[in-house]
Amino acid sequence: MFATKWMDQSIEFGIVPVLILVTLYLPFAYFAIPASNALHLSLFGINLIGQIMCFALLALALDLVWGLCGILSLGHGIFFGMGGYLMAMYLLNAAYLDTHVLPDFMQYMGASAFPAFWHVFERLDVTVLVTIALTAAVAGAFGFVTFRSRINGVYLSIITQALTYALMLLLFINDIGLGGNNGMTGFTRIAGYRLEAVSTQIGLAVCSCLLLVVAYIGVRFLARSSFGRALIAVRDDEARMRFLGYRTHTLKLLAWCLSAVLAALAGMLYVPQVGIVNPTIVSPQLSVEIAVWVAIGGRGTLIGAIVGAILVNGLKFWLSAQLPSVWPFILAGVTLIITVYFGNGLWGTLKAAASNTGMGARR
Amino acid sequence: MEMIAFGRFLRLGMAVVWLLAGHLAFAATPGDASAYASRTAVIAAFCDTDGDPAAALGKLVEAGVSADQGAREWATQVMGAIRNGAFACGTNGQAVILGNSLGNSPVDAVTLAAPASVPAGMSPYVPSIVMMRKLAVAAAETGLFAADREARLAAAQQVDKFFPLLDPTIVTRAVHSEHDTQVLTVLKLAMAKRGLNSDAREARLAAIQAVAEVPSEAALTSLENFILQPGVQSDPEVIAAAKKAIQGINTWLMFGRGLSIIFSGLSYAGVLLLTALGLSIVFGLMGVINLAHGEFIMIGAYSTYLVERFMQSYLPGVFGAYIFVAIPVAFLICAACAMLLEFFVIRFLYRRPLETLLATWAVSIALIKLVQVLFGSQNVEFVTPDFLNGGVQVSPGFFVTYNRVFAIVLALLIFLATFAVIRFTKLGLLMRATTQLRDTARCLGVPAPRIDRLAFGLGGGLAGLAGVVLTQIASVNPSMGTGFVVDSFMVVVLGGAGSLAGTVVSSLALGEINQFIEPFYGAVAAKVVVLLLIVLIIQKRPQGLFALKTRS
Amino acid sequence: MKRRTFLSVVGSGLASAAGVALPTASFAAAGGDPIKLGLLFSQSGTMANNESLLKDTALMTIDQINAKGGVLGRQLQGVVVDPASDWPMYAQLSKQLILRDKVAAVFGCWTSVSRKSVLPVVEAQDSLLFYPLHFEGEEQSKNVVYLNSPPSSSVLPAIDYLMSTQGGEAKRFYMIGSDYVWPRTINKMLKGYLKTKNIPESAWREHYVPFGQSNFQTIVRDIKDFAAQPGGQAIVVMTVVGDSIPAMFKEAINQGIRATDIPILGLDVVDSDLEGLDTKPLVGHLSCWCYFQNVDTPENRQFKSDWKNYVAANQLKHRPDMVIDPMVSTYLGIHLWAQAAQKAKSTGTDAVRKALAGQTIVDPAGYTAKMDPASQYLWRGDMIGSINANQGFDILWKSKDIVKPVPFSPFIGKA
Repeated sequence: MFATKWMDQSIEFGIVPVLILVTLYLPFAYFAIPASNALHLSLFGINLIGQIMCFALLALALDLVWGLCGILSLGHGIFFGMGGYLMAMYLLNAAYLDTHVLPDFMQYMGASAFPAFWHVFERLDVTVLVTIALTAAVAGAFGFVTFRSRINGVYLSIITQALTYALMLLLFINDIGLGGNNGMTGFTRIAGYRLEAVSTQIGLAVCSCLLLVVAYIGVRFLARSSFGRALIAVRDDEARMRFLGYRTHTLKLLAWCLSAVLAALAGMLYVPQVGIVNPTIVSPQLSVEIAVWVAIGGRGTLIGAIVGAILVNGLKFWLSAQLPSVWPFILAGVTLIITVYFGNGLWGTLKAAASNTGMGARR
Repeated sequence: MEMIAFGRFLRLGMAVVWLLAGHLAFAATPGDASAYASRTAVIAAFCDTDGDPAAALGKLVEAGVSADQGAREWATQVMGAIRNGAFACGTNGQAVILGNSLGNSPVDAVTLAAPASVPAGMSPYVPSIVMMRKLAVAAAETGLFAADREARLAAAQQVDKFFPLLDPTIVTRAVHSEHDTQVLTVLKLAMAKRGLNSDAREARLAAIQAVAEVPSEAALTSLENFILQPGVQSDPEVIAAAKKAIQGINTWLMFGRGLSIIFSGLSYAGVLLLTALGLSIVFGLMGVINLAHGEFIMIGAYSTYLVERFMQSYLPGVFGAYIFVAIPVAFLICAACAMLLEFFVIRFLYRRPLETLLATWAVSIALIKLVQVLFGSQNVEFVTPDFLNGGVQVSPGFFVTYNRVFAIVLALLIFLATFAVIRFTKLGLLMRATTQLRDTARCLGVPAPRIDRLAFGLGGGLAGLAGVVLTQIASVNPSMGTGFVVDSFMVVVLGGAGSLAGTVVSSLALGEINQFIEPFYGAVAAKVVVLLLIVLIIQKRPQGLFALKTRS
Repeated sequence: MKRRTFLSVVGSGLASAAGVALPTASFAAAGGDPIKLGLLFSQSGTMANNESLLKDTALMTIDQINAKGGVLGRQLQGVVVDPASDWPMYAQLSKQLILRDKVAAVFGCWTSVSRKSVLPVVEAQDSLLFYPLHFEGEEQSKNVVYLNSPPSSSVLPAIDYLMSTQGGEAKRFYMIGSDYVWPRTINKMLKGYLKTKNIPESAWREHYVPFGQSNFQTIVRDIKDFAAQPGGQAIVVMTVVGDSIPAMFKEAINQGIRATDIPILGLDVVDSDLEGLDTKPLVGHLSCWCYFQNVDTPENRQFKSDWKNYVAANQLKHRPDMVIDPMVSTYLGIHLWAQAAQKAKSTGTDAVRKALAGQTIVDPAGYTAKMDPASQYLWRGDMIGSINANQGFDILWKSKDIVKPVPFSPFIGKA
């Protein structure tokens, strides 16, 4: 029994050394391997890996609330976007210190200096703390009202879609002062390092991988703890848990806030690598896509979310360059097949198959 | 006595000579070089960069109202050609009137006959905006003497619209020669309004009254400008009358604006109702969130496009009716698509609403891409049927466009038809039973899966009908559906899933609220406020306004 | 045990590798003979209609140059990507074009927001973006070549015309635009300009709608209200783009607004936006560009027939009889690049940039365009067009010669 448990755990834990390998491979592939070799990674490739890792973290965040807790949020883009925008505000502050030129959107809106509240985001550490606090507060406010009202299932999903849609519409308005449709771009420095320098780009990608590893270990630990068990129980039968005396809305709220913070952190690392943030980051489509990554990978398994995000986004970047007309059909087909036939997703099915054919041990 | 008679005879003679001279100046007797010479001068004034087109236009008008038939025709042709962009100048001063849509070959602008040689380097004469106004008035003034009564009435209304620019001598002549009472009224009104420019106080007061009797935005402008004139400032009685008139017009306009907002709210509500109706039925019955609903709307719109193309090619005579033909076509196509979707995808996801969400999302992106590949991703333009073009000024400040009236009426009719189906038909009865108590209905032998499929088909068909209506008021492209999905879900969630009355009430409420906020804060802010409002209400009352059954 | 761990490692490793190695490995383009030019034009989304015209014009121009022997003895190859009207995608794909495909220069973008997204990328990678649209100015980067006019050469002459006696003595201005950098900057400059002409603040109104807005009911009503107030002739300065243009025109037609009542100056209106509309009620509304297809010059006739043949030969979905200004600008841009590369005997950014200064080229609009050595703006002629009944434009006025472009407007600060 211990052996089975240890085996299961080691499979799942296996992803950690894989990710660490990838992390080490990144600088190695750029500096050590010559450009003509197929294993060499250009700066473009490294950048791509970094972005995909951010998406994987975002998927992990959603799996925390969906897979473990049964809350399908179709609005996680809100928190991803919050992290992205707040990071962009810091980056614009840094760029101003560098170039002494106001961002474009402030110029054409007629501002002659940064608005007062922008000064909060002049230091990276303050920005990170404020982002975490703000995201937790917003998530907390929403979760408090929603979970107490016992809103669940599809209603909650639709409401989160509506909220992310509303936020996107709001961000499109230039008068809000966050760049409108133009978004925010023109970043030059981060924490003093030049953003376009090779080492910075590699560093950001490495950070994304490491953050993913840390988050995965943390969430896995949480999932195996009694808190995690309670969450799974709430997912399976909330009424019973309530009857047993658990304060289910508090449990859900905690998971929800943690998930929101993780999503925000993913956004914070995503934006410097992409170099621009605009309201499409909070579009309803992206938020649904996150759920699709988790579903394809296998919800509830945590690794599944990571695998799903990496697989889908990797394919997307590759195929939309090669065959832009075909990608939506492929994505749609894969999603349909997975949702209808492989309810557990790729990883879930793999795991079920392996545990059936392997030692015959059942979980 | 003899002196007076002689005087009269002299004046009559002079009139005759004047008329004859007018006739001679512009008459087109063949070989009459002097007549052509004056015409050539007029034409040259348009084509020359140093020419005076305004004066030339005056001469054209003179010809157009003269007694000579040939001159009138020549003037009408030239003015019409200039207004239609068919007047082209050559490099050597010659000008032609290019062929019109009936395929006539170019004619010389002076002789109105085929030119000896078509000169090279013809470039169309493009009138400036000021010239266009003068042309409009000129054409109207010429039209005052047309044989056809309708043409005279239209010309009179045009003259009335541009009353500051009218030529009083010509209009007075028209008044004298006019017999029809309606045309006369319009002409007299125009002349009265022009009295605003006169110096006599009586004329001014009469003009103010005339203007105040027909309140409109233009009337307001002319009175406001009138007050600012220095000559008027000194006369307190006139100012008082004008201010009173302005106040009256403003009241009318405010009333009209209020009506406009209510009307826009109704039309927006109609659109919301149409898009949300099918969703309400499906969601209430099956608890299925169909993210492909927007795409059914889009398929309905594209079906309309196909019908339009078909009728344009094969049935051009009844082309205007394509909207009505499209209604059953779109309904059937979308219902079929919906039933296929249910058969192949949804029915495997029974009792798994979250998976249904993702599966329908996948279908929606595939549908969007499919339509993009088939039709291209650009906007599809629809030729508006004639009866939907334009609008009517119902009351000052309240202008109603026919396409929106059509949308409202159609939305209402479709709703009533759906209500009838749900309430009075067997299918409706079975659907209601399955929605309210599914298991009991099944026990009583109701084939729930089949009802599901039919209901889904009905929902899809209704979405298709929404698409038909939207072709006239929104832009049609492959991703048009995504803009409606969130809104229609909000309407359904607020109104209560499965409740038709709830859908109507919530779409009315949301439509009106949206249109009340829009003039002040813009369309986007209105939308955001409405969304947030709904989210707040749902927190308090999750089952919606008219709950059929609780869902938490 | 070992098998399972191996499986898991392989499984996750493959997933990560697949996401990464495939795109980079399969496109390990060796140095190669042809010179690559990046074509960054959307073929899907709101901008698809307009930008796909530019992509095909670029490919046609490349074919023409190749037929004459290419540049520096090498053939040109256009690398086509589709940013799908998604602004961050423009940034992403421009990075891809420069870093992965190693293009010599990028030709692309229509909206200013897409250009602003690409700007940091071309500056960081020191490449060249040739930008074919008229825009709001207020920008001068050594990595961007501006092929079309800033407001000083296009918008201001049109406004002057409308304020003149001939144009109707406009005294009141209703500015309606899509909510992004171009309309906002244009209107800011316009307000500063109007202030210098002593037009009071009450004489203008400014309103913005989101991209893709199609419901202009309230706005057109607002315009009618505004025009009815006293103070002089009102005009509409329309800076909405894309799908919003035909939507607004349709609403204006339906609500009975004619050019003789309230002229509309549509700054981004091209012939393709009028397709499918019955333009008889729109006759008289204005637009301003460096080129209208009704210009009668031998170069224009040649260009139009080349385009017609190209569309037929490649069975493209475009109209063979419609040519718009940005197409001509793209054509000029590629030729200018080719001329500069030929002169510099190199395709390197620095060399081409130096060789571009002072380059001239014959513009089908009937002028000889000249590249300004200091600002990298192209001197072009200026025209005002009036919508005619055939979904096209008649030329109301054109400048006698090319006009000096002013990158930074003196009126911006005055608003």
